[in-house]
Amino acid sequence: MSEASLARIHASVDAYYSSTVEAFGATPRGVDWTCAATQQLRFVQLLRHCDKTSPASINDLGCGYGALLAFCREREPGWRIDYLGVDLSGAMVRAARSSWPEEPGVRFVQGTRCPRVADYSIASGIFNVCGAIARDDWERFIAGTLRELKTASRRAFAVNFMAVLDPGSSGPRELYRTSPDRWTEFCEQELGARTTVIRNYGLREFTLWVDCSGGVPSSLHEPGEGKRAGLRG
Amino acid sequence: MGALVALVNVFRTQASLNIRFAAGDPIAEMSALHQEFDIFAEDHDLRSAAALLGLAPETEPQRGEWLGYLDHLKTLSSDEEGQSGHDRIRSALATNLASSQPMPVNFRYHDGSQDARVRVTTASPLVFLQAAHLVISVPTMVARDAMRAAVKRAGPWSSRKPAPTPAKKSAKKTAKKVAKKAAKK
Repeated sequence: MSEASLARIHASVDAYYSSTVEAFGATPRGVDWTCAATQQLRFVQLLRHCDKTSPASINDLGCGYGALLAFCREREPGWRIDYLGVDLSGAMVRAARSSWPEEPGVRFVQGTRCPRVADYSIASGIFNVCGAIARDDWERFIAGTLRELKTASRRAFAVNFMAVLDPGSSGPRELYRTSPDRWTEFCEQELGARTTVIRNYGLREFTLWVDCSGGVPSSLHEPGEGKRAGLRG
Repeated sequence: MGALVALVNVFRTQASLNIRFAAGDPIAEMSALHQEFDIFAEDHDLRSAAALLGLAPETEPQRGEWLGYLDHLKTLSSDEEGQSGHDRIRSALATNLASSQPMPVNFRYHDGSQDARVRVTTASPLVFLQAAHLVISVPTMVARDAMRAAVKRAGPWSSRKPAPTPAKKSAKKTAKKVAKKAAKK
């Protein structure tokens, strides 16, 4: 995918989410979810297979205002996590930093990719709103993001997708819907990872859990605390 | 209702409720949410459920009015003896959403002067909706009638005159003492 196309997609996503957080603030509506309950039901699925019995580092790509961190603290108070939230919207990152100021083991950075290798990488809802981007371009963007998530994850990464609607029904064209096969095949054949599809949890979507424990490229290493190499803001 | 929640928000919240609890994907979603988070469990109230589900206006004072109205349901009776209107709604939703085949839910209002209870029934609420729905109907009165009824319940003015407070009593005593002293002089 050309740099220009990718930059266009990032600009489109940035504009969309900066406008939602401006309109609704640091709330589920601000990151375009219906409500706190549906947002949290997605977190339940994304974290379902994480080992919560031992400390872990987590990259949260498309972190918004840091709702995943709040959810982990409330739902798994005994789970020690080293959290890095990444969002390409400067408005979101500002909202996140004002909610979580100066806390050890918690960082928010503005950017388009995870700058470190963590045990787990999580991305909720980042592939849903394609806007006016052509489907082929959007799928190239997804493929590139999944590659980066694989590279940035030591144990596994989890993402979610909106599932296709029933035959005969139609939804908004600016939403990207897909079948699990499209992306399980990609992750298994292109990324060489094992996948698990989580579905039937009450939302018309599915969560893709991708096991990366086969090995992490040695070219990447986890930067020290406080470093923000290669990131804006 | 009219006195507690502005008319436009009556329509908006009713529409939101009926959309979020509609047949198909919405009721499946609501059932999954309840089963995961116990949203309508006994230790939660409708106010917190509405906030968690985004079923309240976003801005004040509309949001406060609506959440206050949900609290007001605790003062109403229901078609289930000994259960308040609030608890009747909460428990009916909990039972329905926990079942293996949850019914879609239709929320509506009825004339409170005819039946002042919250009612829960099963029916097909509209001609074009064939599926059986859980129908939750809440009594409402127009603001003017509600105020008249409240005034009537309160009785005449004379019976509502508040007893003098201790502070007022002591102020009266002091005033009398001052008056007596002035008279002696």
